[in-house]
Amino acid sequence: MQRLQQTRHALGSTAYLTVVFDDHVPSETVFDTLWQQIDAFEQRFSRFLPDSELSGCNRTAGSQQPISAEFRALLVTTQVMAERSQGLYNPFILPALQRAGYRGSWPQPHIRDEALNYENRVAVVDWREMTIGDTWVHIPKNTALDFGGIGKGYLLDRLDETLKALDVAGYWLSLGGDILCSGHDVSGEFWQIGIQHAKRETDTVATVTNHGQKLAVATSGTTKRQGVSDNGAWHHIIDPRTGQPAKTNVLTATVSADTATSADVTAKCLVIAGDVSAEATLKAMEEQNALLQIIDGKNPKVIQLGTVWSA
Amino acid sequence: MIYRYIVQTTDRKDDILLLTLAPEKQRSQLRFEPGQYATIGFTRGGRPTPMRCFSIVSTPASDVLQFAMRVRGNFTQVAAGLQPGDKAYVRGPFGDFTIDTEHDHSVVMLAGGIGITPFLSMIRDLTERRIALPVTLLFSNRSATSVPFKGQLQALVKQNPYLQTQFFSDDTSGKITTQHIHELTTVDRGNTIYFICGPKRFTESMQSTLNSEGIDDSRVICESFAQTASVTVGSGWPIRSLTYGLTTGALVLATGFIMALDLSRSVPRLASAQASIQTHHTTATSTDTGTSASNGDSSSSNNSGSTSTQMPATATSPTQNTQQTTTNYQPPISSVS
Repeated sequence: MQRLQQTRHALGSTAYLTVVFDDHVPSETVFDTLWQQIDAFEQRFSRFLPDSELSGCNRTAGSQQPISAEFRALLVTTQVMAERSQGLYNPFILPALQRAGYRGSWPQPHIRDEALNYENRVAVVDWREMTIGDTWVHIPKNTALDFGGIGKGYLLDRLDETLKALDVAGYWLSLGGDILCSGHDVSGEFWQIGIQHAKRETDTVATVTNHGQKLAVATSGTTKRQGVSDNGAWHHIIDPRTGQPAKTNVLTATVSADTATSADVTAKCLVIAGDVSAEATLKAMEEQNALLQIIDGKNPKVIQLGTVWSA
Repeated sequence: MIYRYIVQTTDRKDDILLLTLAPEKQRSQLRFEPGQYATIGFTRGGRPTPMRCFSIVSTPASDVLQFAMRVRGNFTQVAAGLQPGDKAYVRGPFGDFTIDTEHDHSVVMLAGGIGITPFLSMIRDLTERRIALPVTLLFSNRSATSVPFKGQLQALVKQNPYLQTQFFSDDTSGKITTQHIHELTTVDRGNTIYFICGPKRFTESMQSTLNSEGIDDSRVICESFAQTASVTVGSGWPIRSLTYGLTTGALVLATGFIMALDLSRSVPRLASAQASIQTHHTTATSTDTGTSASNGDSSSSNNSGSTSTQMPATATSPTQNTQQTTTNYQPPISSVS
């Protein structure tokens, strides 16, 4: 049995694939399959690629657009999450995000590609205005979709399905810091996921263990993907209720959940909700375990919700 | 608190020494903010050297601690003669010559000579963390042929779209003037924070230049750089002054204490200390070998990719990405994506 790890840049961030193989499993095939899946996802769902299916959908906003089964599945998931979050998650925030300053692909958010510019469209519309058919979708005229708040989590759950079929002993995958793990390490120990300190990247504030089960851990926050534009300082967590970067006392929110999709979306909702509404938001999202790092002088204050967190 | 480090490498180019230290214990290493400095000391002939202040060049995310210095006195000569495995003692961090990334809208850095060191840490950190903060670096040196870290700075400009640099030298382009500052700092000038670090004469000259531009002192932060002491003045006055006074006092006491302590320890225990260093190296080598052997099984995978710590060139060109089987295992850490 051996543990192998590969890393590269994907989805505008760093991806780590760590897999524990029994000796009879061809590791190269497994890694190739996973990277291909990640590439295919990016090609289909990136808002920065003019030829992606997402960009095509945004270009034809206002008319019925044929879509692939994969695209439909993700759209349905966005609706489920939007309903669960009572609108704190909304896939229609792209114009607001671009207006705030996050226009181009990181690390060049200020670079505007006119072909992919939706700043003049309606900042945010009600998520229920999207209609999904068996093979088509209709989004309102002058709107634009973005999967930034859900994509990495959703993809991690799809990669998990792939790995289940490939007979590996354990794995943990990280897409830009959103993590999904299952099984165990080569030594038989379960995976222990560290939660990064909001202000000191080399420190962790807590850990969570998977106990051999599938476990997703996602962190969102205002400490990265931020900048200064003509309109002032911005960060990338848009509050759909205001169409502006969320005004929040939460620096980072981490969620531990059974699925990466839910962990990813719930973490963003907690940042938007702030610590006062955190418990209610967590309950609405049907989750139990979250860790908030909130503004409190020089060092963030850590608030743990649920019982999974260890020091 | 004293942090114990081991000299990893000493790289010297002309009269500039880049000293790289690795912590003796991973769990006990200096935490600092980019722009801060620390005091370092070594043992020479079994006896501790005095501790001297130097700005930190590395970033908080790095596993190693780096200092850069111009080799020109006894202490730096000793530093230049250090060998991998030698002990180093670090105390700090000190100073608030730091960027507030949550509130600073844009930053102008005015560096003179080896005064580039705190800025190098700041710029590396901003680049690694992908902070979209406009930064203009004006870097002045005596000679255009002797510019510390010029190659690194040029590489960082390519990685960080918010960074622009301009090099000045007495023998070619001349000194930084009011006109240069005016022309090169057009972004959000009213909210720009100005950092100055360099020799005393350079610092005074830049302060005077900024004043003549009508820039309020509250937006100017200076590190009066000398390789033996650092003093920050500016917007925090007089609190910073008090802080530094207390810090200096504490440093003097701590340095005396450490010297006495190290002297008492180093003489009778020199042999065991040497053995300890040897043990440390053996362990590290063993670990590395194990990791290499493990990864050797997958050596056919493409190893030509960039390392995971580098900024992604773009998310829109997946074909430019190449994966690699890592030689250093990265444990799972959930962070803001």
